[in-house]
Amino acid sequence: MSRTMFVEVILVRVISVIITIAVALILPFKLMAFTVIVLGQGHFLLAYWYQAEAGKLDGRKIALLSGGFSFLLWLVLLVPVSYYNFITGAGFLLHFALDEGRLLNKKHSVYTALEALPFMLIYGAMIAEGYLSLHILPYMAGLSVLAIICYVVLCVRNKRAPTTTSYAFFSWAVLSIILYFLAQKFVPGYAIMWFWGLILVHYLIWYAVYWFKLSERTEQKPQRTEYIWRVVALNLALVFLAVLYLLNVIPLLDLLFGVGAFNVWTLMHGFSSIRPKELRDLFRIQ
Amino acid sequence: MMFTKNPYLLALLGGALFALAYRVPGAWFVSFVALIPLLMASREVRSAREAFFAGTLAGIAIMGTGCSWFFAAYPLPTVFGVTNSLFGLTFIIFSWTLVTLSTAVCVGFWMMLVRLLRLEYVLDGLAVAVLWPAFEYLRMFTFNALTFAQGIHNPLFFTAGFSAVPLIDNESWRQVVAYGGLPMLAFLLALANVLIYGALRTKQQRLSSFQLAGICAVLIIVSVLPTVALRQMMDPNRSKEAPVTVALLSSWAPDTGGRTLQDDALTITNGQFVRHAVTEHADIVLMPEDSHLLTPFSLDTLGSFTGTTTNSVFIDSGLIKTSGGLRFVRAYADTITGDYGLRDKLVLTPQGEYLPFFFKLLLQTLGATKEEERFTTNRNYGNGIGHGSIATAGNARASVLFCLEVMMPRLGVSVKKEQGANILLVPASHGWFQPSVSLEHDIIRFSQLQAVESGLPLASSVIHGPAFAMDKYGRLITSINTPGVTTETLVTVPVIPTK
Repeated sequence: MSRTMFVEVILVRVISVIITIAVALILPFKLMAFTVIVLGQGHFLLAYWYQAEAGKLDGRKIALLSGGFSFLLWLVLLVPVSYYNFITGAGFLLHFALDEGRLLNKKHSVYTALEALPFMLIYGAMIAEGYLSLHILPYMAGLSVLAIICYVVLCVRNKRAPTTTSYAFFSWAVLSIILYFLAQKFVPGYAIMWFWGLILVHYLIWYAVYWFKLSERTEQKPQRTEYIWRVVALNLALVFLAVLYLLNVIPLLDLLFGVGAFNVWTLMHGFSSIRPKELRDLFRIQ
Repeated sequence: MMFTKNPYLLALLGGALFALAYRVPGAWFVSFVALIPLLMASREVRSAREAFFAGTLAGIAIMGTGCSWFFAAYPLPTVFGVTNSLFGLTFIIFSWTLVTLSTAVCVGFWMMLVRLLRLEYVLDGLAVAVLWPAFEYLRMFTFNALTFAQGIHNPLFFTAGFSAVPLIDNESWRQVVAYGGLPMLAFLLALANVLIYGALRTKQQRLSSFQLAGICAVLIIVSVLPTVALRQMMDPNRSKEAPVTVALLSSWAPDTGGRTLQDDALTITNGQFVRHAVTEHADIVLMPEDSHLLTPFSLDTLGSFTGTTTNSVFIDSGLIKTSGGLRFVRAYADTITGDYGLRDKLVLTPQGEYLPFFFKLLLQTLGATKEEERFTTNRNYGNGIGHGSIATAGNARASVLFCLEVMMPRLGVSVKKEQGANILLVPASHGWFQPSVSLEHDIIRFSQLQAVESGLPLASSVIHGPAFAMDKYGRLITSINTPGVTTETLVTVPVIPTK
């Protein structure tokens, strides 16, 4: 394994997980969740910013996203909170899996879909238990085994060796089971904490990987400096607004930092980053 | 330039159609085509700025009509000792203009976004329909920003001028509110407009006619469908309905005699009303807002007032000052054994008929320090208890919504959820207003909205306006109002008894 691959693939994820566990241990659950919400807004805004710079966010898309945002916000009023949290959680899992596949493997196929499936099923069971009190982990574990068998059969038939993506997704699945049981043992009732942790992990990975992406192109040093400025300035501005929100100075900030609104922003972020071609590729053997 | 190519004229036409649907009784169906000129205008504008101004123009027509009852308000400066009537009128015009403009810009923003969409695509059409109610809700935010005043609690409530409100007049469309509130109705209304507009744009004439006929057929069928009967058939609790008798009062003070004499006259008629209601064995005696007939939280109970043994529960409200100097408008229940507080009024911002911040600024500029002091003292309210106790009487578990709180979306739903109510009572006062048909019409519509949205019957007693009761489908059971004459009635309302 090359040094670059070790750093960009393994080290980034290990450090992200360590930082997240540290945050979970230091902060009370509510504050940790709030930190995830505040940093999440930075993540979403930067993603839109770069989409706009890449010319992928034209006026029509903005109008459609505004419509989508309004619709999802309206649903917050109609759908029970626990269901909405679950739907958002499931949406985030899909987004995380697509993003990881994209970052690790550059393209999607039925293999990446099967690699991600055990991870998604197990996390899905965790959030179903946390938000809907549905105990479906054993069934999801069974389905995960089935997905792994299908994956192995396909790999053997097509003579395909496991890739970084395979190891990464299986590691996520194993790690999630371990952390879930640890959380259940030590902080009963807060097992969902690790799910929030995964969201934080996702932000950290994204920041690091984007940095490496800019570093790959040596001629783009000014862009890297600008990138750091953007990340720092945006997050500081959001922290400032978050403080105002906590002090209840501007009630409208509930649309940024309230849990209901955060669910909406998360789903919007997921929708806006979906590439239809990638979804089609998930069903193709490539 | 052709009329259909001029975005400003089209926008004005759209606004005028909405205004027509809003204010002319029975013209609710016009809403189904009122958005079409705005959609046409969005295709004709050449820049975002033009879209904004065209939309704002339509918004002025819509909101100007929605707030037309501002002009029925007694000029506030007069109430606070500034007797120059020209000054009072100027301030009302100023308030109306500012509220209309600040909320109208939301239509401008909506059109800026719609301009970017391609209406021939399904997804874009859906986005237009979703964005319409979203930007209507944004008006509540701009209204709140405008009416901000330190020390006055000001939740989001200002739904005046919302496009779906006229549809409340139709019994079938009104039932939609039970499945998604006012936004659902506004969404369907906008969707119908988008579909009709799409059909009109279809180049094949035959297909266009088919589409139009189909959409019109659906709209007509829904409008005449016996939706209430269908909902009743599906209601598992229907057989459990039990009666609650509520005594209602539409109270009018004499026109002359000065404020003290008016208050005295009201006290006498209110007292007579309570004695009649108790004799008639009403379960609930509902007073108009701020009657304060009995002194709350004292030995002055219903029994001592009427001089008889009674199971009636008397609901009144008025200003309460705590020992800490805080002021609340509180509803309380008074029984033969004692009294208890129910709920404090949430919507305390003067309802847009004037702007507290600007008014104070004006008084300061004029050097009217005495009036300013009086204004500050009288208008400085605390937040109070959002959800306090519930009044129980016979089969009723009653929650209170105050006056213009009926404009606040989902407040009835929230009160029902928090308190487990099976009937909503609305003490209201239009004492600050001259008789206004548009205000009375609006209040009944918004009450119907609360009733259907929460699934609870609603009864209201009013000073200077109609007292009424309606069932949980928003159908009026009774309505009494003879301007200038105090009238009372005893009405039986069906409720679902709950524990």
